[in-house]
Amino acid sequence: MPVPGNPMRTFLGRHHQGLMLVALVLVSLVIISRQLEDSRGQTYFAKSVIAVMSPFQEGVTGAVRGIAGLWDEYLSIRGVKKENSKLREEVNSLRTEIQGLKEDLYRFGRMEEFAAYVSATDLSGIAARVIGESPDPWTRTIVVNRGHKEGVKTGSPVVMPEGLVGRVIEVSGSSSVVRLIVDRSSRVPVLVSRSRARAVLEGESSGTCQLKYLQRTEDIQEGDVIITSGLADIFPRGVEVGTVAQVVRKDYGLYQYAKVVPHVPMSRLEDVLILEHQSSLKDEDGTP
Amino acid sequence: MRLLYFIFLLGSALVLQSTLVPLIVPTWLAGGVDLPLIPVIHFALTRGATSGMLTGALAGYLQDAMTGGALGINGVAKIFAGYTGGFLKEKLFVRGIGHRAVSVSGAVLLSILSKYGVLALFGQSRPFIISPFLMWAFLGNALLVLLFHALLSRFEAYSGIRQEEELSLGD
Repeated sequence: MPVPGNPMRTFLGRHHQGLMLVALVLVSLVIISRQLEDSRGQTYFAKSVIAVMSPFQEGVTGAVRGIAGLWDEYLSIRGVKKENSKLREEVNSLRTEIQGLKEDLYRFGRMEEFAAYVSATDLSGIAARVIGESPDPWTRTIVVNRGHKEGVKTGSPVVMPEGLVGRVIEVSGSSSVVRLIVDRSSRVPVLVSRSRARAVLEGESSGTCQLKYLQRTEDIQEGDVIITSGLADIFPRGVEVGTVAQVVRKDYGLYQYAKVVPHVPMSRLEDVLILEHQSSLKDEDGTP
Repeated sequence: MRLLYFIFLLGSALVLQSTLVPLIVPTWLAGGVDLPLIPVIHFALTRGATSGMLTGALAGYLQDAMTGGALGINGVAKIFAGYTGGFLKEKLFVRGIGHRAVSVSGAVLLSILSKYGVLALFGQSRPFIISPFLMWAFLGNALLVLLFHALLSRFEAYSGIRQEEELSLGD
C-alpha cells in the first residue's frame, strides 16, 4: 500500500506486482541460463556474464598489459644497457684477441719463412723480436729480445729471409743490441753477385748504403745484387744485402762507388733471425 | 484448510501432468494439455496477480524439476500466466463469462509466448511463429483452464473454502 510522504515506498507500493514479476523473471532467466548450453558447450549464464564483464576485463587487462609492457620495456632497456656495456667489453676483448691472433699469424708466417730460410741455407739461428730502436737518428741500431740466455754472442750476424740486417754489438741477459748495415759505422765485406767484384759496404744512416773500395775497373751496374763475401769471419757467405741503385765513377781515383738499397726495410723491422757466430760454427765444424 | 487445498490442487496437477497425460494424450496433442496452468490461473483469477505469480513460480519450477527440463522454463511461463491472469482480473473486474475468457486466454497466451520466447532466447527453439502446434497449445489450454476454473469455483463455493463475496467472481 502506498505510504504518503515517502516517494520510494509509494513507488514500491504502486508497482510491487510489476517489480515482483520482473524480479521473478530475471531470477528465472539467470537460473535457466546457468543450465542451458550453446552450440559450443558454454552455458548462457557464463556467456552473459562474459558478455557483460568482458569490456571491463578487456579494459583492466589492457591497462595491466600496458603497465606490464611499460615495465617490461623499462626492464628491457635496463637490460639492453647492461648487455650493451657487456657486449662492448666483449667486442673490445675480441678485437684485442683478434689483433693478437693476427699478430701471432703474422709472426707464425715470419717464423715459417725463417725456418725455410735456415733450412735452405744450412745456417742455424734463433728468431728474435725487435723490442727497441735507437732514438738517435745518427745511430741505426735496434734492440732484440734475445741475449746470453738464448746463446746470442757479440758479433753474431742478424738476417732476414730478404737479406742481411746487421750484427750484434752488445749482449745482455735477455736482450741484444744489433747494429744495422745502414749505420754509419757498419762495414760489411761484400761481392757483386754478377761480376764477383769485391768491395766494402758502408752505412749512410739515411736508409741506404754505399759501396766502397770497388776497383775502378770492376764491372758493376745498376740493378746488380750485392751479397756478403764471407771474409773476416763475421757474416756467412752469399747472404743478399741489397741492389745497386746508382753507380758513381769519377774521372779520377782508383775506386768507383755505388749506392745500394738494402733488401730489408730497416725502418719496419719486427722479427729477425740471429745466426750463430761464424767462429762458433767453425769451431763446431773443426775448421780454423 | 486453504493451504491443504492449495497443496492438493497443485500437487494433483503436477503429478497428473507427469504421469497420466503422457499415457492418455498423444504426443502431438500433449502441448494443449498443461494441467499446472489450471491452479496457477485459477488462483490468479481468484486471489490476484501476486498470488498468481508466486503460485506460477512454484508450479513452474516443480514442473520443470519433475519433467527433467531446464529449471525455470515453465517457471517463467507460469509466472507470466499468473501475473497476466491477476492483472486482467483486476483491470476487467472479472464477473461474466466473457471477461473470464479474455483473462484466461490472455494468461494462457502469455504463458505460451513467454515459454517459447525464453526457449528461443536461449537458442533452444526457433523464434516464435504461428504454427498449428502453438494454436492448439493456446486453444486447448485456454478451454481446459476455463472449464476447470468454473468447476473449481463452484466446488470452492459449495465447500466454503472461499467467502460468498469472492465466490461471486467465479460464477
